[in-house]
Order: sequence, then structure tokens, then C-alpha cells
Amino acid sequence: MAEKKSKLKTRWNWLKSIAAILISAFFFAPFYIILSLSFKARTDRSSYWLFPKEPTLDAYAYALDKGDIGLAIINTLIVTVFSVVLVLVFGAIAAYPLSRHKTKLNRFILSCFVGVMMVPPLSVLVPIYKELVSIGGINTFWGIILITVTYSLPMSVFMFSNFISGIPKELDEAALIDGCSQFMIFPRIILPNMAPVISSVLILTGVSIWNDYSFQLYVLQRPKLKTITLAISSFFSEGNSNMPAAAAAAVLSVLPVAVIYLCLQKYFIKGTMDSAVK
Amino acid sequence: MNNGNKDFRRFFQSDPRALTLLTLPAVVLFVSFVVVPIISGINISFTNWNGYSQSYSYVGFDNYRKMVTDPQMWTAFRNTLIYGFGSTLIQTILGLSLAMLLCSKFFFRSAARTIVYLPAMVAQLIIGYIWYFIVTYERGALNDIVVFLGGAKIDWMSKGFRAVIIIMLINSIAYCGKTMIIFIAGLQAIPDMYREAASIDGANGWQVFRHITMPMLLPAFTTSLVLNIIGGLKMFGLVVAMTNGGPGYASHSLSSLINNLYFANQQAGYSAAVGMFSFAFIVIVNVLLNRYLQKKEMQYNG
Amino acid sequence: MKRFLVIMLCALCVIGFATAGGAKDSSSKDSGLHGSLTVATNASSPTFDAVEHIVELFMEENPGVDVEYTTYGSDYENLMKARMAANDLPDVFATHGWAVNRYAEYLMPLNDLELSTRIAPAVIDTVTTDDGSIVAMPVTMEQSGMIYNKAILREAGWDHVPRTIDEFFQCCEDVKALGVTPVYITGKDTRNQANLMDIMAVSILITCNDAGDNAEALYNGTFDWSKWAPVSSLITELRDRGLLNVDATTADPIYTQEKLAFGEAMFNFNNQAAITSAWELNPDAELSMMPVPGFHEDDEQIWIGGERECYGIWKDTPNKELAIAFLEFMARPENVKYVCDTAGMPAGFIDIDSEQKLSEDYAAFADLKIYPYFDREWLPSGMWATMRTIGGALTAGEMSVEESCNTMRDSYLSLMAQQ
Repeated sequence: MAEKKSKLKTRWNWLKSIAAILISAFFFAPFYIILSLSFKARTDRSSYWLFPKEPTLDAYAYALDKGDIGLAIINTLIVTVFSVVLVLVFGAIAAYPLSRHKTKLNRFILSCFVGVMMVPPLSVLVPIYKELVSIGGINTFWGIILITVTYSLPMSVFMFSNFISGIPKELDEAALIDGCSQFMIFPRIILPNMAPVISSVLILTGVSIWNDYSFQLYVLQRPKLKTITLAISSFFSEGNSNMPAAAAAAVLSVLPVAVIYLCLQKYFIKGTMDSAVK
Repeated sequence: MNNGNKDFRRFFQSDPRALTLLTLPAVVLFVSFVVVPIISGINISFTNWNGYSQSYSYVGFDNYRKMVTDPQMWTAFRNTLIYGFGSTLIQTILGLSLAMLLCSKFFFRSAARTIVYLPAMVAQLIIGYIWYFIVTYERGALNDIVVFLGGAKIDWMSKGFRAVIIIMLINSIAYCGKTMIIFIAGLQAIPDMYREAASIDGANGWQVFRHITMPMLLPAFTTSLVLNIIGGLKMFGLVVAMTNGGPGYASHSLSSLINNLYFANQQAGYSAAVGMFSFAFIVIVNVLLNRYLQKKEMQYNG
Repeated sequence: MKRFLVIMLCALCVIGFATAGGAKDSSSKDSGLHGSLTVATNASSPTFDAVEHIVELFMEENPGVDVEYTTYGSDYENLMKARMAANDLPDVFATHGWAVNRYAEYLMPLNDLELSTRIAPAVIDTVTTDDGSIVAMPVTMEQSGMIYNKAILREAGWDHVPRTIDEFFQCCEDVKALGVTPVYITGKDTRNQANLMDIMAVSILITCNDAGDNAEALYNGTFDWSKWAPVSSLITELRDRGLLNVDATTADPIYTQEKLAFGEAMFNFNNQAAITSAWELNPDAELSMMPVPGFHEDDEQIWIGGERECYGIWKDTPNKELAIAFLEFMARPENVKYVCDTAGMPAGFIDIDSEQKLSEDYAAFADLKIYPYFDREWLPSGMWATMRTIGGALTAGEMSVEESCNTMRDSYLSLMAQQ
């Protein structure tokens, strides 16, 4: 009986494996197409499904030379790292009172934040641009970091406060009775418990800042400050007709994220999971 | 003086209201880069500004009146609803199915999870360009398959409504990885004994799913719902890369329409009015969503 | 994780200081000119590469000067609009056909400079405002009509390019019979349809023999917009008779180059740059530019022209002296010639003997007159966007010809009222 059941289970598992492989093939197909296109010569007009018979690196050479991808990656790292650190710090300390003490003011602040999460940033682009010009923030890293942090904060406040609500309030109360000042509860009691949600906010905001386009375009205009999405987008612009180079640029932009993701996927997946259930 | 100082100290140390001070950095950023621009946006929405000149004049409610009869605006509004709620529905179904499949252990499971999640790491604009090469008429990858199977090439994005549906599907496929991970987390949090107990009691697969799995997945469901609706309602990069709003204006989302009116059409005043409309709409969705979820959570907890 | 972050931050700080230190290292050599200049454009290669070369020469001649020359491609217009709104512009920037209509209030008049006397007569009007200020300097100019493929024309049995719109349609039918796409439109970017109407409208409404006082009426706001119908119906008729590519509403401009290069499309509405770019793929493609056909039997063919790569100086720039020196340098005949030769475009200055593959073809129509684009001369600023809207909607069948006339009229009246 038990043997039969386990046999059934292995067969069932094989079916699942086959399904998983088919699904993976489907999800990987777009990446395969862009890869095969990026290795083609400009005059090669064969089907996108066919890998070129004589793969060439011309497109990559062109993309790296014209796009200055190396510098772009460094710039993107600077913007992403500083923004993420600020988002984590500001988000976490703001989330604590907002989730712990549901006063009218706090509830108002929280719902404002969550509202911002949904504002299409482009609708306020020009006023923001004018403001940045008046404080000298155009073409500076701090300018783009301020804006990026502002528009990434709501998501982190939302996730942090959801998570903190799940930490038993009794812990705070016990600490208060022990004579802990209320401002010390956060670093002593709450913060040590927040590791999982910190990693997931780090990943989510990190990825979305790395991929941001709209604000960076307007704030970082000097070529030396170009970030990776800006470098890529120039290959898809009017007047450019080098399709393999555009594909190569896309691959180059996906590559760093994909590599980091493959190395840290355990944490990525765990982080997303932790923030979801808590 | 001394007394006041003491009061202040007590307030600072033990009144929970003092803790609100911790939100200060976030609130300062919020006011300067969200509230101020929105107010200035409201101001612009009452002008006929072209978006770049130093001069413009006030036109009262003209822009808002124009909105009521403008077919572009209502098409974009309808599309935004489809992008927002349609992708949320499909993403939830796809994500949940994938999560159920990729939850238990078997060969290739982890690799499949990784690959399904991969597109979620890529910028919308890039996803859009990649898929453009798939659905495009000229040498499009999808058409190659159609021709291989003996059909005639189809210009997939040429019919407005079809383009909207295709963009919605692509958005769902590209980002269902995130939903899947959230549901896997939810599934793993359900203790096995619950389901086993139910099976022993004679419940069939569907009943277990309906009465044990589903309710236990509610928190995961909430998170994914919020993330997906927001993502869909803010849809921009995908539309720009796939159709640029076309054919005509048939596939614009509110975001891409705002951008187009502002920059291409030089109607900054009107664009700002549409922006305010979409802002108001999204706030309402937000309020309703929150209310619904709170109610659900209360049912679930109580 | 914490340690990782700390290390990252330290590394970034080091990088930051290193680059900041590097920037301060300025040259000690003295050439009279010092400082830095930002120059912005939307040009792509080969024009961009050509101008970049001139920029390098300029910096060689003036070692104390640092010029930052950037292209923003298709993002350029949006970016410049945001920058105009904030009154914060690059020192020198490309005006891409909008020197007068859009940028004039931000540009410095160049009338006092020697170079302004050498600007070609065919293009000087397009950079001169109503009060006579020359606000930009056209390095290259455009002389456009329709791009066509000479080999296909021969194959279809034609020994001359179509001279009237009727002939044009006949030619399209003959080409279609060969199995080639007669008119290739990349409608994902509606600029393409707007461009078609923009050049055809001049022939249909301004230069034809029975144009009457259309031009006058357009200037003073009394134009009868039902007369626009023949312009809009060009698109609908091409579509209904199956003379457009199947994917006319969805094709991305990225495909234009290969379609032209491999002889799969007969006519296309773009400037010379599209031909130069197609030759990169297939140098043997027999592509050329033909003038815009006349409306009726006896009407003249015409050319449409204007500035192409054209630079102006921001009137509030803090680096005025440097900006002027840069424009003067770029306007030197040998530099203009270099840009024209590399980009394959006619010069915007007189007395430049630039040689291009197309020169011979242009010579064959040398006696035809050159007119400006319809919207730049006869419409109030902002109508280009309206033409894009109706162009897209007409191709997609979302709008009838009559509705498109009404849309043009409404937009025209409201923009006239703003002026």
C-alpha cells in the first residue's frame, strides 16, 4: 500500500517536473529572443527564434562603446545604495509610531503615505523639476536621491508598519515597565526583530530604484552622471536603427540584476515571503 | 521655566504622541516633494499653459469641462481599469496556480521558481521592448509561430481593444512571479497538520483548498492585491514601449496619456487636470480597498 | 549584510572623492578662453559623431575650455520642455526645426555675428523671427520630399518620378502589383503620419494654382477648414486602397532602415538621414529623395526645406562669450563642410562645396522652389501635436476625414486665440 502510494507520488512528481520545465521555457522565451538577437549581425534578418549561425559580439562592443555602460553601472550603484539606506532608516523609524499608536494624526499621516504610493509620478514631474532647479538639485546625486527616497518611502512605510503590527505589543509594555524610555523601545525591542522585513524592503526598493527611469532622465542630464536605464534607453530612441545593439544593451542592463538575484535568490525569495505573511 | 522643562521632558519620554516626531524626516520629504508639487499641479490645471513658455493665462474650469467629453480621456480611464484590475485578477490566478505547483519538492522546482521570478527584476520599459519584438508584425516571434503552424501573419497590436488586452496579459505574465512568491510563502506558513486533519475527516481536495488553504492565504492575498493594483493603475513603461498609446490613442493608460498630453501635445494645463482626476480616482480606490481589507481582516481575526 | 553595506558605502565615498579630485585638475595652458560649456542635441549618428568631432577640435584649439556635448535622442524634446518651464537651459542647444515657434523666447539673436551673413537664403527665414532676429545657426539643412527607391520605380515601368498626386497613386498601384509595399509608415510613432500631412499640405493648400487666398486666411484666422479634407484623405485613401504596410499603425521606426535598405518599401516620409542610415546596412540600395508632387495636373512640384542640425545660444547663459566662440568655430567653412559630408546633408551656409551621394539627384530638380513645412509657417505653434493626433487616429480608422477637419479647426481656433 505504502509502496504503491510512493510510486504514485514519484510519477506525480515527474509530471510536475515536466510541467515546471515547460513553464520555465515559456517564461524564459523572451530572454532567449533578446539574447539571440543581440548576437546577430545587423544585416541578419532571420527569425528571432533562430540563434545566429555565426554569433558576433559587434552589438555588445557598440553598446559598451556608445553607452558607456561601465560608468553607468557605478552611477546607478551610487544612487541605489544611498537611496536604499535612507529609505530603510526613514521608513523604519516612521513606521514605528504609525503602527504602534493609532492616534488620529498618525492615521492621517499613514493614509497620506499610502496615497502617495499610488500617485503617478509623471503627473507632478514639472513642479518637482522646478523645485529642484531652485534648490540647485539638478545634475547632482543628492537631488535624484531625495526624489527617489520620497517616492520609495511609502512602500517601505507600508511594509514596515504591517510588520511591526505583528510584533506583540506586550514586548513594548514590558520594556516600559522595566524603565526603558519610549524612544529606546524601537532600537532595543523592535529593530532586532525586523531583519526579515528589512531584507525584503531592501530588495524591493533596491530593484525598483535600479530600474527607475522617469526621474533620472530629468535630474541627471550630464553624460557623466548617466545611470543604466538612461544609457539603455538611448538605444531605443528615434533615429537609432541598430536592433542588435538595442538588444545587447537590454541584456547588459538585465545582467547585473540577474547575477545579483541568482547569487542572493535565497534571501530575495525569503525576504518577499517574510513580508507577505507577517 | 523649570516646570515647563519638566513637562516637556515627561511628554517627550512617555507620551506616545511624542513618538510621532520620528516620522519627521519622512513627513518633510513628503511635504516638499509631494504636497507642494501637487498644489502647483492643481494651479496649472486651471491654466492653458503649453508646458514650457513663461506666460500663460487662467481659464477657469475649461480643462475639467473638456475632460468630460474627451474620448481620449475616457478610453485611457477604461484602459487603466483594465490594466489595474484585469492584471490583478490574472496575476492572482497565475500566481496562485504556480505557487500550488511549485510549492512541494521535486526535480527542477527551484530552477522554475527562479525563472518565473526573473522578469519581475527587469525594468518595465525593457520588458516592453522585449515583448514588442514578440508581438510585432514584421518578423515578430509570435507571428513566426503562427506562420509555422500554417496561419497568416497577424498585426497583433493594430486593434485597440486587443492591444489593451495583450498589454494587460504581458503585464500579468511578467510580474506574476512576485505574486507566486508571496503565495508560496503563504502556503508554507500553513501547518501541514491542518490539511491532514481535514483529509482524515474526509474532506476532498477542493474542500481542503476552499476551507483551509484559502482562508489561511488571506494575508498573502492582501499583500499581492495591494501591490498588483498599484502596479497596474500606474502602468506606464509597458504602454510606451509596446504601442506608444496607439493605434491612435486606443491603448493609453492615464499615466501615459498625461505624459503624452503634457509633452507631445503641449497641453500642460489639460494634462494637469487629467492628472488631478487620476489622483482623485486613485485615492478613492485606495480608501475603498483599505476599508474592504480591514473588514476582511476583522472577519478573519474574529 | 550590515558589513556588506558599510563596505559598499566606503567604496562609494572613495569613488566620489576620487572623481571630485579629478575634476579640479585644470589645464594651465592659456588660450584666452576658459570655462565650461554644455551643448545639447537630439542628433543621432552620423550627425552626432560629426559634431562631436568638431567639439573635440574646438577643445584642442582652446585647452582651457571644457565642452560637454550630449545627445538625448527622442527624450530631447521632453527634457527641453521641462528645462524651458524652469528657465534653465543648456548654454548651446539644437533647435530641431523649432527655433522660431518654440525656442525663440529663450534664444539670443545672432544678427551681430559675422556667421549670420553666411546663412543660406533657402533656410534663413526658418530661423528668423517676425521682428527680424536670427535666433539660430543651421549647420545642415533639410531639403525633403518623399524618399523613394529608384530601382523599384524602374521595375514598375516608370521613367520619371510621379509629378502629381494622381500620378503618385497610380505609381503606388503599379508598385503594389510588384508585391512591394508602396508607402511605408511607422505609426507607432505618429510623427511619421504628421510629417506626411505636413509636407503634402503645402502642395495641396498653398502652392497649387487654385490655392486662392488660403495662405492669407491661415495667417488671419479665417481659414475654412473643410479645405483640409484632401490632406486627411490622403491617409485614408492610401489605407483603404491597401497601399500602406499592414502594420502601419504599429510599426516602430526602428524598422524603417531595413525596409528601405532591402528594397521592401517604395515611398517613405522621412528626411535624408533615413537614407544615410539605410546605406549603412546596404550601400547599394538605390534610394533617393524626390520633390513633393503637385496637387493637380498643372501644379508645380515643390521641395520642403528648413534647418536640420541647428544651434542657438540660451539668452541667459552665463557663458555667453564662450558660446559665441563655439558657434563661430563651428560655422567655419571647413567645419560645416565636415559635418555635411559626414551626415550626408546639404549645408545651411552659402559657399560650402559639400559632396553627397544625393547631390546629383537634387541637381535634377534644382529649379524647383523650396517651401517651409506647413505647420512652421502657416499654423500657430502647437498644431504639430494636433496633426500627430489626427494622423494616428486616421491611420487607425478611429476618425473620419470630416472629424479630422473639425479637430484641426478647433485646435487652430483655440491656439490662435492664445496668441
